[in-house]
Amino acid sequence: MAEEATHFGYMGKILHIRLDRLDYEVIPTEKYKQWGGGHGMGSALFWDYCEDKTIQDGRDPKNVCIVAASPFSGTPTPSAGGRCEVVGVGVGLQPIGWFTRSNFGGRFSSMMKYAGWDAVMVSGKAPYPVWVDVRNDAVKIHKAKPLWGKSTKEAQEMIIGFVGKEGNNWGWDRMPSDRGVEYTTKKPAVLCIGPAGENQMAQAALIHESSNGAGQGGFGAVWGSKNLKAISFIGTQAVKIADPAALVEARFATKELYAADPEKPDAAFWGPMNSPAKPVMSIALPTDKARVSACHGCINGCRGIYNLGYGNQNHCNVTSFYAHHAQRWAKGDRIEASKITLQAGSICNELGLNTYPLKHGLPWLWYLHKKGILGKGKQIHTDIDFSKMGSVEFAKAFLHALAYGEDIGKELAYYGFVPTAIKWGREEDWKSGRLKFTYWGMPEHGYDPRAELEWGYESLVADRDMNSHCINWIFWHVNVATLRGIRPRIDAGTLAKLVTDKMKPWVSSDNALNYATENMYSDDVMDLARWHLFYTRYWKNSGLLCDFRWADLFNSKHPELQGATASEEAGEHIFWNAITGENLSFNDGIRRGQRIYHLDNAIWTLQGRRRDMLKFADYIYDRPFDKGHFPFYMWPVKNEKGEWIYRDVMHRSHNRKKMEEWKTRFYTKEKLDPKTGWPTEETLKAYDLGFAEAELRAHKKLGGVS
Amino acid sequence: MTEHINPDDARRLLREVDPDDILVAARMHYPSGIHDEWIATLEELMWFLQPASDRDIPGVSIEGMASWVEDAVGDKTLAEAIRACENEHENFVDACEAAYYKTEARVSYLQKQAQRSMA
Repeated sequence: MAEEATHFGYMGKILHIRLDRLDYEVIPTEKYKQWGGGHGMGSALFWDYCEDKTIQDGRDPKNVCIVAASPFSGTPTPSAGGRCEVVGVGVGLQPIGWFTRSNFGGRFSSMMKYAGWDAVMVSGKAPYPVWVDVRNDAVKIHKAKPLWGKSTKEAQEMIIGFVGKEGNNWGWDRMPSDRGVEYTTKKPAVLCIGPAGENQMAQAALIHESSNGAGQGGFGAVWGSKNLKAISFIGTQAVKIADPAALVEARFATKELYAADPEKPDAAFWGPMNSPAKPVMSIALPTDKARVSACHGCINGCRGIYNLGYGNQNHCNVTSFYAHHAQRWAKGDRIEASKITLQAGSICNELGLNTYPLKHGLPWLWYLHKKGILGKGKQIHTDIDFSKMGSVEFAKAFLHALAYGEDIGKELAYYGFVPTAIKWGREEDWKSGRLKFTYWGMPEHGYDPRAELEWGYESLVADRDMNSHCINWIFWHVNVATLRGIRPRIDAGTLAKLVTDKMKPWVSSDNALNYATENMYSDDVMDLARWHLFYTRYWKNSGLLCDFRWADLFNSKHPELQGATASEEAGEHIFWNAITGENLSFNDGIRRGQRIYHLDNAIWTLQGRRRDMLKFADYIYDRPFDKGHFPFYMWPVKNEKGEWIYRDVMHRSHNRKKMEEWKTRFYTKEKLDPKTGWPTEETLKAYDLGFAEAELRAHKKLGGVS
Repeated sequence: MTEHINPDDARRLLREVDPDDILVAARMHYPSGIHDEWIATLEELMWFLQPASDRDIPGVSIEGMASWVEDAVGDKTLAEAIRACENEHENFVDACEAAYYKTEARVSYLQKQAQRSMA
């Protein structure tokens, strides 16, 4: 029993695939539990197993890529059971391929755990294309010749068929097990690359089923460079829960106290669990023959399954990057535009392409085409007919070029939009914000750092667009109410107190939510950004709580408007402890997030990060934020009399000098060398990272005393 | 908006503006995000403003939109009609819906006039 108790929430093993040797080793999870799971576990594994952390391109064979689950994976924790984290050195970031992260949903992490594994790590480069076939403890590395060149859909179908035929009978597959003969009717969960990954395009994603994609970071290119087509897991085990009754109790508390009641719709609900299951799309529902679909164990259900033969599970940006162009092509017919958009999304999924760079990249190309700069025989030659932009035909041609590196896709998809703009002599488009790639060569997510401060600060001190909406929900609730002429459900002062109370002791004052221009660079706002950075690093990136659900900082269903976050009924740590048997406090988790951040920063330091690299694109400093003619961006601020109000925070820009001062104060607060941003002896001691000292010192990257 | 527009003027008002003069607006799809739109014609403005679900709100300032219609497109009449929507309605969403109907009527009329010239 004692041995089993140590594995509550964990399966106890990590699978290390050594591609250059075409074999594998089993690593005990025990050492890595201190990092939680997901990102933290991945960063620690990277540190231990990547022998050269100075590499600057994820395509380097020395790169190590980790796909990690968490104790929540495969359990009925609300909106957490199916998320999965990917880490490693990425491709396509600026100015180098940073150690970075991505994340996807579905049922891959849960099936990985049911097969007995907490994470899978791949190192080296296979001598020829391979795929990895894991059935419980049995691990085989197969030649992938028949799969290479196939779409993600075809590859997954072939693997599922292969695994089925290898078993006893399809539908009842005999599984290798040390507990005697076992059978399963489940399908394997497959994570794979498409042609974009095989061709090592920076825009290449890892795809699981349909539209569950790890897009940011170019991990598809990483796998392609390693000759790795796919990893498949199927298992018959279960995740041991330390206190099942506590888990069930917390689920009921979630329903009773925090989740919207589908029987009593409340259009003005404030909080993330505010609606019945519904596909999260940026387009009209294309058919009335649809149902919702969800990741493993999720109670939200944010994806759709349709009778169309395409578009299944497409959501969020996959349903928006082409929507505007499709609407123009369909002359305003929203249903037709929706069908075109879903088809374009499905093409991306099948080719294994990340849609995010296209959100701002496609309008830029449209502009160049309309200005007569891009086109057949033009200054920038292309055989792709941009006059058909918005059609399925254009989507097929353009996306094919991106995936196979043909035509302009050779530059755009392999190097990324920013390097291509520079190469084409269009650097000014990036500097002016016409090409809206805000940080690290990555596109803006929709929330501009001149208004949404925490989003910008956290992205700047990390490695990519943050994409963590915990604080951002405030924008939505306040702005939608204001646009509709409804009095905001929670007044600004109450909201500031509710939110910042959850952040104690990391923030000392409700002034942390005061996004007034004169308070942009304050220590209070910095503390809020630090809290959110570390919260996200642990509870969302390592615990793998879903971004659509967590954090729950305020909630209009609760009698005192309290959100579930940090609560003793259904807080993050309540679920964690019920599953793992630990006695972790909510703030213990955030401290772990801080430690993980500093380990990541040690890796970035070895890769060559310098303080001067932490900067926004020029337009963030040089132009006021107006998002075209966007009406307003309401946010809690304190007015001149010190009263809390909601006020428009557009029409301002960042100040270079004040940002530099901010960086100095951030580094100092985090015990980093303010001159370089590098870890110091004090940093390593404060965050229990002594194991990193020798390597940092050997590379002369240990910072001075802060 | 009752004044007569000759076919040439109708075609001019319906044209695609120069890419440097497009109206950059946004749609707010709750909760999937804010998505920019690049509006180049009056017809595209009409599609953009068309009321959709209660989770889909146009993100554009009424005055910014009216200024674009007046300065980039050159339709002062429609611009003034759009400006009036802001005063006639208590909230932004209703004003946008009213602006949609004004724009729809205008586009429909202009298209009719433009086709006449081609017949």
